[in-house]
Amino acid sequence: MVNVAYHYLDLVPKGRDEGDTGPSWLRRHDEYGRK
Amino acid sequence: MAQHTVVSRKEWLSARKELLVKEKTFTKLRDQLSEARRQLPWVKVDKDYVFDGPKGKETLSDLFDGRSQLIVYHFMFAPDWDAGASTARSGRTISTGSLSI
Repeated sequence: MVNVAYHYLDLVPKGRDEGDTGPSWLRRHDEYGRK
Repeated sequence: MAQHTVVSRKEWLSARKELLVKEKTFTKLRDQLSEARRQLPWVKVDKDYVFDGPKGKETLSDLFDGRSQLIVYHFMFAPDWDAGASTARSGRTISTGSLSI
């Protein structure tokens, strides 16, 4: 209910775009974009 | 703040569970609304917009930078502002839109 990231993603054309894997994209804030 | 009745933990839990049903209904409805938003038809943008930015002049396509989605928000500066919100002012409008290639 309070996941604001999802609320923003719900506004864009591709939505949450998670496929079948759910929120497995989540990382610590400074770990995004690492290989 | 409104006055609240004070009840036993058992009564509170019962009321809390009733609210949970409503919260789950709300979440499902919001998901349906978001799906309806994603299903909206599209309008073709065929005007050749050019933007001034830190990288000089760029087209709308340039702004996508190879990605499939672009989020645009419209934050209007008064003519004498270098940045937004240096003092509290009224009259700022922020509108958002999203584009997809």
